[in-house]
Formats: sequence, C-alpha cells, structure tokens
Amino acid sequence: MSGRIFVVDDDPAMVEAVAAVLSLDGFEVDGASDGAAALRAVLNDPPALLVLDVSMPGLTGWELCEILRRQPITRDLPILFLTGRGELRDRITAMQVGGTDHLTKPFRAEELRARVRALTASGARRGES
Amino acid sequence: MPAVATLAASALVLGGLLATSLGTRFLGPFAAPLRPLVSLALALVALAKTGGPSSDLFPLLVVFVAAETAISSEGGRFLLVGTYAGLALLAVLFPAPTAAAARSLALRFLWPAAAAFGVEAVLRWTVPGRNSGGEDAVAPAGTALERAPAGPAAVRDPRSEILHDLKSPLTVLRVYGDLVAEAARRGELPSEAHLAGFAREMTLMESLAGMAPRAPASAPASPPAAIVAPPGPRSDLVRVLSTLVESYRLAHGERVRLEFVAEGVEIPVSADPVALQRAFRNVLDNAVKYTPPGGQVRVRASVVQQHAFVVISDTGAGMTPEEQKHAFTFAWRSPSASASGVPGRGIGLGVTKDLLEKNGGKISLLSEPGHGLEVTIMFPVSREAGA
Repeated sequence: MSGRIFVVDDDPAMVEAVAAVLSLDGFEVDGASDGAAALRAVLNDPPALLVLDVSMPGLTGWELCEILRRQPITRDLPILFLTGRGELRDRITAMQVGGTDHLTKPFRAEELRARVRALTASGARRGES
Repeated sequence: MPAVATLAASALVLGGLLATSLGTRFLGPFAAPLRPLVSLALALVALAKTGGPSSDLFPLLVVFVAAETAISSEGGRFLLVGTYAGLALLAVLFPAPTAAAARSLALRFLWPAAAAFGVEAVLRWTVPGRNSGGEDAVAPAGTALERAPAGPAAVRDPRSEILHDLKSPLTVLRVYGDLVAEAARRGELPSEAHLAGFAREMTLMESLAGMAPRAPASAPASPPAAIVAPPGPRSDLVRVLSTLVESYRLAHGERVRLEFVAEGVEIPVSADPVALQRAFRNVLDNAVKYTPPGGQVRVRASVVQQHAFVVISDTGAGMTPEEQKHAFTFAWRSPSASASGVPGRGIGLGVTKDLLEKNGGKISLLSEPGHGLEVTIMFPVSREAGA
C-alpha cells in the first residue's frame, strides 16, 4: 500500500501518533498542526487522503473541509474526520460539510488503519474509473 | 391598541421564533445566520400591526429583537416563550370586555422579562468574554459553521471539559499502546519512537492528573524514557509562535487583534516542540478567551544574553494578586473567571508550567486587575544556536 496522507490536528502529538500508525502501512505521511498551514499544503499538493481534526484554534476542521470542497483540485479528496465528541450532531455536521468518514477519539490503531485503507482504496478506484 | 392586535403580534413573533429554531435544528448550522434576520422581519411586521412606535408593545419588541440578535441563549428563549404563553393565557382568562385590563396585566408580566433580557444583553457586552459561548463561538464570522458546535459547549459541565481535554493524550497513548502490542504479537521489539511517544503522553497525563512524574515507575518496562527533557530536541521559538499566532488570528482576528513580534529570524531553544506548542496554546487560549472584543493580544519573542523570552500580554480583565497566587494550581478557577461565564477548566496554566519546567523553561505572571495579564516565559537559549 502506498500514497501520501496528510494529517491535521492541533495537538502535534496526535499528528505524530497517526503518522506512526500509517507509515507502518507504507504510506508517506505529512502533517500540520493548524488549519491555515494545512490548507496551503493540501492545495499546493493534494494528498491521497486528508485526516482532519475538528476542533482546532484557527480554521476548524469543518471550515477547512468546506473550503477544500469548493476547490476543483480537492473536490473529491477523501477526508477522514477525527472528532473529539462523537455526538450525533457532530457526526452529521462532518458529513454535511463534505467529510467522507469520521473517527471518534479515542480510537484504536486498528480502526484508523482499516478506515484509511478503505478510503484510500475507494479513492484509487474513483481515480481509475 | 386592541388586545387582539397585541396577541396577534405576539403570536406572529413567537411562531416565527419557533419556526426558525426548528429550521436551525433540521437544516443544521447553515440556517443559524438566518434566525436573527427572520426575527427582525417578524418583529417589524408585529410593530406595524400594533401601531408602530406609539404602541405599548414597541419598547418590548425592541428589547426582544436586541435580545434575540445579541444573545439567543437557551434560557432567554425559554423565558420569552413563557411570557408569550402567559400573555395568551391571560387573553383567554380575560375575554373582550376586560381587554384593556388584560392588556395592562399582560404588559406587567412582560416587562420583567424584557428587563431581564436587557440586563443580560448589557452584561454580555460589558463583561469580558461573556459573549463567547464556547470554543467555536468566536470562529470566523460569515461562515455557515459560525455557531455549529457552540450549543452544548456553552453550558458544559466542567468535568466533561476536563474529559474532553484528556481525549487527545488518551488517544495518543492508546495508539502507541496498540503499536507496541502489535510489535509484541509479531515477536518483534517495539520501536523506540513508539515507546518514546508512549512515555511522553504518560508524563502529560500525569501532569494533567496533578501527579509528580516518577519516570522510572510509570514508564513502560523497556528503554529508559528520557523523553521530556532530553538533550536532543530543539525548537525554534519564532517558527512555533508565528504559526500559532497566525492560526489564532484566523480564528479570532475579527474579535481580538493578535500581534507577533520576534527579535530575530530564529530563536532556538532546547525544548520538545510538541510540549512547547501545547504550553503556548494554553496561554494563548486564555489570553484570547479573557480579552474582550476589540482588545489586543501581543506576543513578543526576544533574546537577552543567554535567555530567550516570550511575553504574551493581553488587554483582558487581568488577575488580582490572590488569583495570581493560585493561577498555577491544578483545577483552580478564580471566582471572577467562573462568574464571567467563560468556559474553562482551570487546568491550563498548571499544566503549562509543568510542561515548560520539564523543558527547561520558566513561567511567571504580571497583572493588575483591569489592566490585562502579562505572561513571561523564559528559556535558556540552545547552546548549538549558531551551529
């Protein structure tokens, strides 16, 4: 498995931890701990998947997702939300703003890996068709 | 003014309020910005129906519109619905012949509610931070998501705030734990980086729990966890702070002016960048939270002899000497902070101090009530600075 994944979380330790899991699966992982830097990096060079935290002090994950969905280059980019609160309202909002999937903290490495595999595989399928 | 007109106008405003509330619930956060507009339009219609500015209802509606636009809190809405329901009930109890008496009685019921709104609205705008409902209430204006997650956050239980704050380090711990376990299942030695991450989060959790870190006892059995203040990690204060300030500016720039000045292109210190980010974030969070709209938060980074200084000052409410004395105590919130309604956990500064000290830093406060707070953080400059 390969491809580049971009991870955004305001806690840099979380970025490192997610990168630790995904790099074991052969992904190349980049990250940022604020929305503005992430936006620049992702628009500059869209990854195969974006893993996005919701509550960040600058641009929130939801806002970042809305912006990306309006850009042709990232319209179909798979986005996996990491939400702190797994409430129904948050999960629905994640979908409303254009998220592809979501994962509630705390999550297990295995679940993260499974979701990322599914999302990158479906992204690849979309790309081929 | 006939009581029927008053009732019709009230029903119209109430109906409109309920409809827009339901709209917000079902259409999601996208409908939120519409609510004050719809309320305003309905109130104008109601005014026209009740005889305009000369009507008894006029001042009431003005207060209502202000309250709805400025605060729209759950409690306020409940009060409003209650008073309108009371008005309807009175109209039923006192039919047409005593309409005038009913109206004056109804207005007597309505005025205290209106006054309560007025007081609440004034408080919201004058007490620093009182207007911010939660972490997202100060998100950039004009976005559809402006108020999205604010609702429950505004009245969240302090315990759930603490738990929410623990979720990040807990998740990271869990993930590293999983990775170590996976390695064990494969019969391999766990990666040193994963163990290091695990130990670092353990230390943070211990700080959050108010425990003195006991590295040998609490760290996992394998390699020594020289994680928190190893000789290795280096951070550039300018880089860390400029990124942070930029992201806070994006979020709060419309409410508070954020300024960052660095004396130098690079200020290297021997500290873990993750710990630094967390520490600065805690201080900036507080500064932004307790600074009223139109205020300013300044971040200055400088080097004096062998020491790097970061001074974060704000134009907020400041702290009394008593508050400063307890500021670093875990889970202590000053009475004025609690009374201000600003959501907070009281764990921020204590943890910040811990994080900084483990990385060779020091933190101190300087403040006078009403004149803002100045937080000074000092680090020895990294010896390999020029290397």
